[in-house]
Amino acid sequence: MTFPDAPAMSPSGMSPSGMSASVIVELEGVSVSFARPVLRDVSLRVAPAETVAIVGESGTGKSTLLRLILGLLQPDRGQVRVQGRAMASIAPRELRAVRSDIGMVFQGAALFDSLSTFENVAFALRERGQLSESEIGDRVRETLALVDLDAEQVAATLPSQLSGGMRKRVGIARAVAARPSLLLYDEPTAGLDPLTSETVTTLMQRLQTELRVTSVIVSHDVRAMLRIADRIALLHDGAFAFLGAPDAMRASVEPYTHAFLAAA
Amino acid sequence: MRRPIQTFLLSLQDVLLLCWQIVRAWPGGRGAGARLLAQLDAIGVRSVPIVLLTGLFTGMVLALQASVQLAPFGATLFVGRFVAASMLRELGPVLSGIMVAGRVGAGIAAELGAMKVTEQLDALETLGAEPVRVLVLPRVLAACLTVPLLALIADAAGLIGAALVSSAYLGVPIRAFWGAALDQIALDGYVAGVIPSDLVQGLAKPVVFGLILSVLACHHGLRAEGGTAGVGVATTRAVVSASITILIADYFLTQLLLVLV
Repeated sequence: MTFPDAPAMSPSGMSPSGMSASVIVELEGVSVSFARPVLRDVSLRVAPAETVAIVGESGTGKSTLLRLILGLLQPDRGQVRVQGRAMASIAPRELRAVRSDIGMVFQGAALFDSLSTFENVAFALRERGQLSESEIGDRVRETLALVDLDAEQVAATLPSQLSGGMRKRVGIARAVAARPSLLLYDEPTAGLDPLTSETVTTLMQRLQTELRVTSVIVSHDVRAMLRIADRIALLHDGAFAFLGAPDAMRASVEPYTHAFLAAA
Repeated sequence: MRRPIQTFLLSLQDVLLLCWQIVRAWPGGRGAGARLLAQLDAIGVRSVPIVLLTGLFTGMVLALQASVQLAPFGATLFVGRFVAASMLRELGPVLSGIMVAGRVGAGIAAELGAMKVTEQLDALETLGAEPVRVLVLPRVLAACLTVPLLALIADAAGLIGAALVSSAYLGVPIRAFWGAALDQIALDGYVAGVIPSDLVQGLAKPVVFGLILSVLACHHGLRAEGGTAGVGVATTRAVVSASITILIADYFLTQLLLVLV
């Protein structure tokens, strides 16, 4: 499941050939500033079915990377391409088409408060209008089962009636309901107790295996990421201090990477 | 001085841009009917009690105040005229607009603001739905449709309240009160020979007030930032800006309608 040219990867994550045929997500020389520079000349390529984890201290621009991939934010410099399409110059209709193939799991789940669990998970399916109501019902039940939730028990409940762990799982179910080829996770285990955190991590691992979906995971939980990611990118001071396989990260002698792992 | 002007102009630009996005979002796509119905209920039906009470007591106070002014001239019988002209042309529309801005505008800004700070708006976009189409358009349409009807309810409640006070405390028979009120409506003329011009004014203004309060509430809600404190700020701004804009717009609309109707 690893990116074919990962061993020969440059620190930027670009393959030596510069080819983009088998690339789902491509960030090229991306810089973003708000009040201060957040990302500086960041490059990353994610291959189909690959799982890339982005770790780093708080405020280093991890979530900003996800917003760039979704086209919710435009870079000051550089290019972001998803499925080969440049997100900065894309027409709104095409942007919706690209997004329809992306599932996003938000840090706080971001479930719609006024909708039931069933309606939350069914939302994207109904928006697309490609399935009948009975097919949507089947898909929602199937997806809730995929994240270990009993549809009969939770379908009618409102997000406010769910525990933190259940909300995360419903958030994941909503993201994968339309079977996207790219899944983005923003701190999927933040704010969860260790046991629930472990359940969500195992769930992400299972989804990778069962759905063969490309994943970009932003997380502070570097131990869990070392276990489930094909590659790990460590953001520090707006750039990648490390980008490579988990084993290479464990063996890294780069001072910041070493210190970050030691503190984790 | 430069900064407030710059902030105001930027906000104005954002509001105009939002209006353009609303026009482009028309007719609202799949599920638009259900979303509109839900908002008609939330904005219109649920505002009836507050508008009813506001209209009723305003009419009662108007009758008392009118009697104080008219009694020295022995013209207490004309209370109906005074109340009808005031309620239908001004107080019904303006009070309904401001009451709905307070109740509904605050609710819209708080709801959208909470959705913004909890990333639900981002979630909507990533799930292929545009927030303006799904959230803003139905609220704006519902406000434009229901505020005129609420103004009518306020008018009716005000006239009934004034009739009760006139009859109970001022010794004006109910029939005389309604006769005077209808005389006033007839005196102000009819549009196309059928629709009382007072009513045209009273219904045209609330459409604009509904637009103002809903667009400003959505604008402030969508731009909320900084967690729950930001939602509070957005809510306050929505109510204050909508109330002031309604009062300013009322003056210019009155000038325009006095020429047109």
